Amino acid sequence: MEVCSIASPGIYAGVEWRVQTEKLQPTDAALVARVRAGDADSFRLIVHRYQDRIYSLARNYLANEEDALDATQEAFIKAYRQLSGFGGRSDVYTWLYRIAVNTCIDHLRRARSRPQLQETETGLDLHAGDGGDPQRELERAELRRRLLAALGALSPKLRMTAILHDVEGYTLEEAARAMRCTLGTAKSRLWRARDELRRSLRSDDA
Amino acid sequence: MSCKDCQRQLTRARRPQELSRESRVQAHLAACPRCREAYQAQFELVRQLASLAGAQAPAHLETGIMAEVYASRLQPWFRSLRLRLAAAATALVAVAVGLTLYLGTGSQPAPVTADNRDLQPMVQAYAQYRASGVTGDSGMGLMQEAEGLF
Repeated sequence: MEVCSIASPGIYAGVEWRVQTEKLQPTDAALVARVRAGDADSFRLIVHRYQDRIYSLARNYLANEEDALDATQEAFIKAYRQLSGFGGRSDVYTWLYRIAVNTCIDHLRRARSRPQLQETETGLDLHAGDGGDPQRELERAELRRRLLAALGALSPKLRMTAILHDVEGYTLEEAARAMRCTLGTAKSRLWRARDELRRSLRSDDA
Repeated sequence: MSCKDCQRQLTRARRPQELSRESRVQAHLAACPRCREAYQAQFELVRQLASLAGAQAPAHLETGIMAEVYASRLQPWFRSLRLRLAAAATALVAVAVGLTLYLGTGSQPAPVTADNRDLQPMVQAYAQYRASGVTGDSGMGLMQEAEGLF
């Protein structure tokens, strides 16, 4: 492995450590630079690093396994093609996330259909894993179905706000940036989304 | 604190702990059953929504993405090669058309232009002289001069 070979420890030890770490776990910025220089293989590391989070967003937003896979793939391909235009003003993940948000919204707009809840039909319950208690698995699957149905009944913008903030754990500021709206708008959308979700879930219970 | 202010604080929060230090909110919640109910309902909803997070992408997704990436990386090169081939084909066609025109018009008499109009009588006389096969001195000097011109 090529490392910074400085005999004297002390202040240079940190440099050596950083160089080694960089080789083992390159930063996003380093990966982007490599991809821009023509090393497409480095893009695989970016995909590997973020595919779960992008896929999770798409799956919850589109509530359809096939659409989620398509949207995730489309988002990464767009990112690859637009990489030359990435100015580095935001970090790579924020930039990637914004592309994914727009791709999901476009995807839904194109489909013009309400989500088809195929997850339970296809046996897809990707992160339940509750030690094999069938009763709890069933309850969890039912809750997921109801939540996805309630999310699917929201307008695309309310749905995206609720997913970014309450599902994916983004702050309101980050969600607003991803959706290119003001903080006030994001807050208002979140309030309305939760209100509609509560009503929808309550009517399910009744 | 009003109910509206309390709602505003609630909207930003994802977990009850985020509001535990907000003494004014806590005081309001203790005194207002309606806001307390909204508070409980909200955190229950957010807790449920958070359970949707953390999906893992299937293994074939990365492979599919990278296959597209490699294909799109080759596209510009492929496109430019096609452009180059198209340009070469166009050039070949242009040369072929030019050659055909040049060779096709080579056996035809040269058209009369402003430049050679004055020489036309001499050209015709020379042609008759060549065709008659007459030899001798009469007028031949001129003809021979004319021949030198051509």
